Order: sequence, then structure tokens, then C-alpha cells
Amino acid sequence: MFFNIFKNQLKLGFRNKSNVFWTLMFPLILGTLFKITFGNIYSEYTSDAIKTAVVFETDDEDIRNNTKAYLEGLTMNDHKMLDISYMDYESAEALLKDDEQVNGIISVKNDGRLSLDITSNGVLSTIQETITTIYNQNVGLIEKVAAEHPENLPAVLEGIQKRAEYIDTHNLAGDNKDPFVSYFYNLIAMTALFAALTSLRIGNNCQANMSSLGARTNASPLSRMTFQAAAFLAAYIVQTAIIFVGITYMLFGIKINFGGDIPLVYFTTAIASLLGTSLGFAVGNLGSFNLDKKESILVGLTLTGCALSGLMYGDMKVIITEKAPIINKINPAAVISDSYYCLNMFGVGSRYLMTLLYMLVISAVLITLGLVMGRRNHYDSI
Amino acid sequence: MSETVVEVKNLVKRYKELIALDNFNMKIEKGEVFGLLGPNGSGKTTTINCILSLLDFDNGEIDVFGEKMTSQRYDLKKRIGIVMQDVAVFEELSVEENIDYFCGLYINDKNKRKQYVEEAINFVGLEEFKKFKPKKLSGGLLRRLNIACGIAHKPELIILDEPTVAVDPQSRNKILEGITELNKKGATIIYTSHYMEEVEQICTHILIMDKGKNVTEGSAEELKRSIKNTENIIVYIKNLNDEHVKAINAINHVYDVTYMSGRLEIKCAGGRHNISHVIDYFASNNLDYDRIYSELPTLNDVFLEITGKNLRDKE
Repeated sequence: MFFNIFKNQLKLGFRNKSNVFWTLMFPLILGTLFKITFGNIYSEYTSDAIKTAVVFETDDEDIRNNTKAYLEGLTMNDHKMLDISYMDYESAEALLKDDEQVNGIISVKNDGRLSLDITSNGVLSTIQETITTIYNQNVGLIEKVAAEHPENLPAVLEGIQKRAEYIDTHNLAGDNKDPFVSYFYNLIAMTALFAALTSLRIGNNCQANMSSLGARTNASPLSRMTFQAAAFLAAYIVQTAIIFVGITYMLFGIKINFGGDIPLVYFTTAIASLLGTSLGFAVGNLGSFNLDKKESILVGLTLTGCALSGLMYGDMKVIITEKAPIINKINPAAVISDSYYCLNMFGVGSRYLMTLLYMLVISAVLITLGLVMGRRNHYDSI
Repeated sequence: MSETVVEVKNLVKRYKELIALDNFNMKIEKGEVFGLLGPNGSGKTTTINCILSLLDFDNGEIDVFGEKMTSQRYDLKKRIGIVMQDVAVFEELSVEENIDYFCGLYINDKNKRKQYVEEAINFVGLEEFKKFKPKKLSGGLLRRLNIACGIAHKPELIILDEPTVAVDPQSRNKILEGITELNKKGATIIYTSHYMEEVEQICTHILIMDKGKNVTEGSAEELKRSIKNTENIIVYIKNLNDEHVKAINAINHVYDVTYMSGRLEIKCAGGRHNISHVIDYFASNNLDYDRIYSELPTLNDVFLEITGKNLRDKE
């Protein structure tokens, strides 16, 4: 009996066109759009060093040497960040205006600070701006400390040095990953939560007060537990398979570089899908609301969870971490995105394994809730 | 000796302040086609849901196949087939797959199930449509699929809750023939419907309930004999005024007259030659009529006389 229900629930899952469409097409369409958008930025970002004209407006040899060492020492992904040409300002201005042969002019002032001239906004200009801003902040900091607390100067210089090393871009997982891959991880996380849409129907299809199908199932000699177990397993497999198709498309269709952890990406997704399926199962067994209301509740929960986890607004997760960290531990969207983040940044480690454990625990809680709420076999009214 | 398949004793079911079943009693013997009739909101579907143990009830007892029915009595549920008022099938599965799915809730053996599914498809005449999805089926075919899903596992007790709602006469006829055939094969049937002619055609025993109580029961003939109405005289006649209607109402044995849109209906209680008296009245008053005939009361008359003509809320 279990196998028959399971087999048919698999068919129902794969044939539910709207469900398959949204669960599959959402990552395919959005993934492609991400690729197109980020692809342009990324090619600009990861190609040759940024062509920069440097103009010295000071004769101070120390200042000239320091800035030269700083600018020439900047690296990203093991290559130089800036392709520097030294010249006077008029020549630099001509190159900047002449079809943008340089992306910006960095002028070294008498006070040791840098100024930047650019003609357009973009990622490259932003990088140049960040370089000059950080440098100027450091110069200001050193000047202030030297004037007010000269004894602290060695410590401050050491701090600046460490910060520079920290900022230097490399991920702790040690793989050459796409810097925009976290967007794709977030996309997979959202898709994994969509698994809830399939499992949402399980409750309705076995509750006599919810649907005629539920009444028919209840009137049969099939135990509630058998039905729910078979339907849950089928929903989980359907959703996981669909998300796997999405990931495979990202890997081999639009060639997103997930680094060397591809099996782990699939594995994490399988656990995330379990969490999504469990969420839908719990909401589906929630009280005597009709399917439309349950869908609204689920969509509301999912979107709220995604918003709180920073999938829509990046800084939200930081705010939640500061104000109410417990939410990040129980919010399925936050836990899923965190697991991908950990995998992306740190590889397999205690933090990553902890996020997997969180997902499994939350899944177990949601499944138990669903079973408890949907355990009734007869009703006050139908 | 007859064998009782379903016995409902003093069943009470309340929905907050509303008493849906008020000490309701019902006994169904093996082999019967049991018609459960009542106006909307009389408690028919509530009774069925209680028998199936889908609904909690406040008081009373329900025995099925001589044993107390509970939601955990899977052995009893296995012997029951249910055809719901609403079509309950999966849109994503074909006709054949739907029947297989629901049959699979009762029958584990794959080969046996395959044979049963085939037989159910043939039984409801859906051979040409077995690969069709439900949305491709007409209303009548959909109802037949709904029935096939409920009876494929060859249950001993089949509950059909208004199975012919919104189907064309051909499909309805096919369904009624099927029900009679199932009964001939040994199934006991509980049948609810608002179509009195159907009930009269197929039911061997009829129970009329109203406001959650039993009102009367018996065979169609017994019920017809139990009411006041013995004869209906129908006359198609134009230009009758209120005076004429009053005068006809005063004829011996006539107890109710309605005249609407040129159709005069005269209800008589007892008496012989009632139609002659009516014809004599028309002749003596120089009234010409198009057509006149007399008919015996139908189950519809029984139903209306017992439950009244007032409109009821939808159940």
C-alpha cells in the first residue's frame, strides 16, 4: 500500500505543472538573468588590472615612495589590481577623456593624501574610489595618532597591515570560486524553500474536512501515517530532483563556478529541500484552513523568512544577528542560506556541519508538528 | 434470516447550537438498495459521514457488518466503497491511474488490482477514455469515473451520495443500471438523491428524514399508500378564474388545487370517479380544456407531503 501511494504521489508531483514550473523555472530564469547581469560585471572585474594614471603633485620622496609601494602592491586573485602609468596631469586627463584609455587618475597630493578623477561610474571606478578612500583614512589615522598618542603608532601601523591582509580577497575554503556565487547559493536556498509548495497538499489530501479527496482517503482502510509518510517521501524526492536540475543547469548550462564542492552543493541542497518539504508539510496540516489560506500562510512565512535572512536585503541578516540572533537559528531561510555561505566561505568545517544539523533539527520539529496537527482521523464538521 | 449491514441507533450530532441528527435510527439489511431521502440540510450527508466514522457524533451507536464502527476499524472500512457528492479524483492522473490509485487504498495485490481496475472501467463504460485526464471528460463521464474510483475494489457496502447530480439522462441511465447490477452481484447500496424518480426506480427500501429525524420508511409503494394523496388530476385549461378554482376545490375528495400558467393540478384523497366529477364541472360551466388525465401519486408527492413545500437551506 505504501509503495502504491508513493508511486502515485511521485506521478502527481512531477505532473503538477504549475508547481514544477515555478520550482524549476524560477532558478533557471533568475539564474540566467544573474549570469547575464553579473557576467558583464564579472568579466570587467576579473580581467586585466585596472588602467590607472598616477600623477605626483608632490616632490616629497617619502610620500611618493609610500604611495607607489601601496598602489603597486595591491593585488586581487593573485594578480595586480592596478595597471599604473606615471605621468603629468595633462597627459593623464587626455588619456581619461580620450576613449577612456585609463579608468581613472589618482593624484598624490602634498599632504600625502590621494584624490581620484573618473569620468563614469562602474565597478572599476568603485574599486579605485575604495582604494583612495582607504588610503586617505589610514593617512588621517596615522597623522592623528602621531600627533596625539605617538606611543601607539607601532600598534596602529600593525593594525593597518593586518587589515590590509584581511581585506585581501581570498575565500577560506581555498577554492577559486566565482565572487558572485553567493547570489546563486541564495537562489538555490529560495528554491529549496519552494519545496514547501508540493508538501503543502499532503495535509489537505488526507484531511476529510479539507477536501473530497481527503474524505475519500479517510474513508479507506489506509492509515494516516502510511499516507503521510509515502506522500512526504514522494514530495521530497520530486522537489529535490527538480532543484538538482536547476543546479545542474547552473553548473553546466550557464557554467557557474561553484568551486570544488559540487557534490557538497548537491548534498546541502538535499538537506535544504528536506527542510522546505517539512515546512510545507507542517503548514499543510495547520488547522482547518482551506488550501488557498494555507498557501498564503506559506508564502507569507517564506517571504518573511527570506527577507529576515538577507536574501532580499543584504544587511538584514547583520541586523537580525545583532538584535535577535535566535531568529537566524530558527528561520529556515536563514539556516539554508547560511549553510551555503559556510560551504562557500569556509568549506566543510564545524560551522557548516552545524548549519546542516540545524536544518535537520528544524525539519524534525516541523515534521513532528505536522504529524501532531494532522493526526485526527475524524472531525467535528466536514 | 436477514443480515443487518448497517445499524444506526439514536444518533445525535450537534454543530454548536444546530442539531443535525436528533436521535436518528436506521437499519439496512444485506442486499437492499436503501434510499436515504430528505430535503437539503435534513442530515443525509452527516449520517453518511458518521457511518464512515469521518465525523464525531455526540451520542448513539453505529454498527457496520454487526460490529461497532470506529475510525480505526480498517477491516470494516475495507468492505465499504464510497462515492462522494463532489467528484474526488486527481487532475494529474488519467482515468485508469485514478481508479488504480483509489483501488490501491484497498487492494495490495498488483495483479488483482489490475484486473479490478479493468473491470471497473468496463463497468462504467470508460474503455475509450482510460488514458484521458479528468479535465478532458464531460460531466457525465467524470461522474462515472467518480463511481469507478469508489467501487473498483468490489465493496460489500456501497454508499452513493447523490451520484447523478448534473449529468445528462444517458449517463444517469448508465449509472442507475450500474447500481442495479452491483446490487444484483450482492452489494448492499445506500443511495441518496434528490431525484425521486431515480429512487423510486432502483431503491428497495426508502427512508425519508427531515431535521435530523426519521420521518417515515418503507418501500416506494408502502410510502405512497401511507399518504393522503391517492390521485392527481392534471388539466391543461385556459382562462380559469379564482371562483372556478374555489369551486373545483369544493368537489368531493379534492383537497388541494393549484392553477399556474394554464396547468391545473387537482389532488384527491380517496374516492372513485374523481376525474368524471371534474369533467362534469367543466361541462356545466361551459369551460373548454385542451387535455385532462389522471395519475397515481409519485414518490415526489410522498416527499413533498411529508417534508412540506417550504424551501430549505442548502445542506
